This record gives sequence, C-alpha cells and structure tokens, in this order.
Amino acid sequence: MKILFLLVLFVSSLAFAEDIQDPYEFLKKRSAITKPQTTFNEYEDIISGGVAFVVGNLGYFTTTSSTLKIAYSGVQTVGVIGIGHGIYDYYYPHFESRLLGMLQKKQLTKKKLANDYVSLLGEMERAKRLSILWTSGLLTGQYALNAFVSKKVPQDLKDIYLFLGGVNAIVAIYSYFNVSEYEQYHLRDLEQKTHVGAIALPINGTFAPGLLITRTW
Amino acid sequence: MWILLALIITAPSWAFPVLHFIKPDSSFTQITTLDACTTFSTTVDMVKCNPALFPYQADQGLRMGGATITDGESVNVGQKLILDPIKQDFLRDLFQKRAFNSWAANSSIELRTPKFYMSYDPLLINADIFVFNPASPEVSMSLVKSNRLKVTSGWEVLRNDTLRFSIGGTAYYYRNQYFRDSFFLSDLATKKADQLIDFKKKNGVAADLGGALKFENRFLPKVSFVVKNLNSSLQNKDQDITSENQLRTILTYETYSRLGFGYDYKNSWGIINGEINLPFRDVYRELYTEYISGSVGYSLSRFSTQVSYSKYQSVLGLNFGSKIATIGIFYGKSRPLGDFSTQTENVSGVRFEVSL
Repeated sequence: MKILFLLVLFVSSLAFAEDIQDPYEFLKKRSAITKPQTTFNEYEDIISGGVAFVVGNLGYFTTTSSTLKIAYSGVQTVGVIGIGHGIYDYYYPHFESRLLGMLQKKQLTKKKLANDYVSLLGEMERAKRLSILWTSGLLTGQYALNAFVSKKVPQDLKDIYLFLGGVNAIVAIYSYFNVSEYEQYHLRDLEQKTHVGAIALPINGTFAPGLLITRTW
Repeated sequence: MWILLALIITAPSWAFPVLHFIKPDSSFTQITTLDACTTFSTTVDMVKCNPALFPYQADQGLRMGGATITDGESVNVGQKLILDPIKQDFLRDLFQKRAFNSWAANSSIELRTPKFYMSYDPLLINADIFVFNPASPEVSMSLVKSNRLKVTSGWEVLRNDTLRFSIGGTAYYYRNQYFRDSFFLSDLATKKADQLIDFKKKNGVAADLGGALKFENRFLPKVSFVVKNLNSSLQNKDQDITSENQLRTILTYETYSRLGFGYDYKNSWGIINGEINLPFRDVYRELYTEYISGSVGYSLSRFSTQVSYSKYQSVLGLNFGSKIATIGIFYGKSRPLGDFSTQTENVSGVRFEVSL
C-alpha cells in the first residue's frame, strides 16, 4: 500500500512538472510553429497583386463589354489590395522570433532590450502604415484614372469612382503623415530627404509643366 | 479487330449533345481547365475538381461565389429562356437568326472547415435551345434550373514513402426544375408556348466520389478517379442518345466518370500543373474519345492562369485574388453541338468569390 501511494505521488509529481514549462523553451517552440512560411517566395503576394493590377488595367481600358469592364475594375482593386497585403507581409516582423533574438543576445542590458523592443514595435507599426499608404495611394490613382481616362464611363459610375478615389486619398494622406512615436524611434537613423524637380505632362498633344516632390519615408 | 475495339471503347453517337463551360458546381479552375483539374492539388478550389483532394486543402471560412457567361452571341437568348416567359414570336425569330443558343450560370455559399465543406447552391442554370430542320422547323430544348445542398469530405487512406492515396465524396440533395423535349414550330399555331413547355420538378439525393493517387517519384504521373452524379434523376437514357430530335447536356447532370493523369512542377516562382482527362459514360462504361481534354496551368500565390483544349472547346482563364475576394475572367471558343452543327461561339465569362 505504501509503495502504491509513493508511486502515485511520483507519477503525479512528474505530470505536474510537465505542466510547468520553461517559458524560454515555450517561446522557442511557439516561434518555430508560428514563423510565417511562404509557398513560393517572399514577394509572391506583391507579384501576383502586380499581375492583377496590370492585367486589370489592360482589360479595363481595352474591353468593349460593360460587364467585363466592371469585372476588370474588380481585378484592378483585387490587385491593389494584393500588393498592399504583400507589402504588409514583407515588412511585418515575426514577433516571437525577434523577441527570442533579443533574449539570446549576450550582455543583455535594460537599455539594449528597451531599444530593440521599441524598434520592433516601430517596425510593426511601419508595416501596417506602409500597407495602408500604398493600397490607398494606388487605389486613389486607379479610380481617378478609371473616371477620367476611360471612355464611355457612365456618369453614375464616374461619381462612384470619384467618391472611392476621394475616400482613399484621405486615407492615404492620413497614413502618410500619421507616423507613430514608435515608428519615429525606429526610423531615427533613416534619412528623410525631400527632393523637388520639374516635369512635363503630356496633355491634349501638348506638354504642360509640372512640379514633382518626392520624399523618402 | 481494331474496328471491334473502337466500337467497344467509343460511346455511341448522340442526337444533340450540348457542351457547357459552366456546369452546376463548376469552380473557376474547372471552367478554365475543361474539368482537367482532378489531380491539381494546389489550387484553392481543388476540392470541387475532385473531392479526394480534400486532405490537401487548408482553406477555411465562409465563401460566397458565382459564375456566369457574360458575353457571347447567345447569352441574351439563353437568359430570356430562363428568366422570361417564352413566346411564339421569340421562337420564330430564333429560327431566322441563330439556330442554337445557350447560357449557363451557377452560384454557391460554402462553409469550409478542416473536417468537411458544406454548401448551398441557390441557383444553377443550363439553358439550351436548338431550332433545326428547315423543311419543318422543330424546336429542341434543354432548360434546367436547380438548387443543391451539399456536404463534401475526404480522407487520406494510405501514405508511405512511395505513394499517397486519398478518397473523398460529395453527397447532395437537389431540386431540379426542367424541360427537356422538342416540338414543331407549327405547334405554336394551335397551342401557347407555356402549354408546350411544361416544366417538371424532381428532388433527390445524389453523390460524387473520387480517388487521388500521388507517387513520391516525381516522374510518375498523379492519377485520379472521379464519378459524378451517382443516382441523379437527370440521366441521358438510351432512347435520348439514339433520338434524332432531343437536346441533352453532356458531362453535366447525368452520371459520368473521369480518369485523370497529371504532372506538376514547383519552384520558387510558381507552380505549373498539367493534366490529360478522359471522360467516360456512366461509371467507366465507354470512353468519350471526342471529349478528352488537356490543360496546363500556372499559379503564383493568389494569381493563376490556365489554358485548356478539347476537340470542341478551348479556353483561357485568368484568376486574381486577395484575402477577401477572387475574380476570374475567362475567354472560350466552342462548338457546343460538336459534329452535329458547325456553329461556333466565342464566349467570355466571370467567376467571383468573396470570403467572409
């Protein structure tokens, strides 16, 4: 009886010991499980979205069928969303493996850990912002192009394109300027330069002068 | 000896067999491969091609979608046949303008889980009309409107170092509303069109079964077996086959089977799939040599394109997707009545899907 009691105690203590996992080992295991895996390559969503964007535009501006025009307009949008999603996946860091990397560093100090962690948060926010910025920016241009360049677009549809273009323009402008403090911290070493240049725009067979402002963000 | 062999393996000639790009449960890949996709184990809609590919899928969630022929010479006629009351003048005009007209569309709401798929297809349409025999004009019609409730699942039954074998099945409850018969145009002088065109209704349970065999040796082809519409009430009976005035959709509602041989090649820039598909009457009864189809496809992430060819149909499809929506556009050329009419048709169509 005594032996049986000791055996039960031993087995239950083993089970209890298994329940309490080493948090570092747990993080290591989770990092391996949750690491995003690409089916083909890291640019696959950007490429497939880009193909949809190009084919959508070719189809939209060449087809004479009104139904296919709407379908190609959908393809344009799907392409832009795909590009935005690809940009997000490309820039978004894998939290678990990056945290693991921080903990694995030799001579870990409070300052170093805080620096890496804040920078990681900045990277995450930057991925979200860039994805929204590119998606909304491209959609603004796309809908403006659909409304003004394409022939035989009914006024109702033109109004819808302009409305959607306007909404996306607001979102793009907001996400361009709305840089969080974490992201600013992450970007502190990145130079932000503004360039100004002159361009010529072909309009109605003639060229109109224009100003081009580019900024690294 | 060869003649005897040819008679054994070749299906008998049909009165008016009609080929469709869009069938009741066609996914985009099925449309653009002419169903030669039963071994494609990498596309999002592979389970519709072959239920035995269920163990290969990882997609979950709720999906809503539909497909329709949007442009083509006979789209308006086909839509009128199904959506408007049929009138005498309309049929007379058809006889003078275009002998054969056809339209098809499908729709579905599908719940995808790791264990099974459940879907409701609220509207499935295949509409065909053929006005023939100039001496005494006759109208042959095949109009089918239906809806289905389906459950699909599949299992891997064998996996070792040499091969991977899986099976799967779809069971569905269907409600068909159809008219498949013919009448003389002159009958319209004495009777109204809706008296002649009397739609029948039939409900029932039917099933699709599939098997997929994949060898680890990449030089050996992937092999698939699919039997469609077991116990379906819309069968092409022998009297229809030998009839001279009946119009029947083929490889659509009746029991038929397929044997597929496929290869794929994957690298970091995408995957290329290819398949040769052999369709049979009933359960591997006779090979339809004239409906053998072949397809080649390329896909990278959420973009895919396919080209396929058979004796009477060829199609090019482009499918684009994001996480929430997928839009596919296809362009096809067909001789829908095969050798029974020289009429050819250029069509284009759209399939869309939204994930919720």
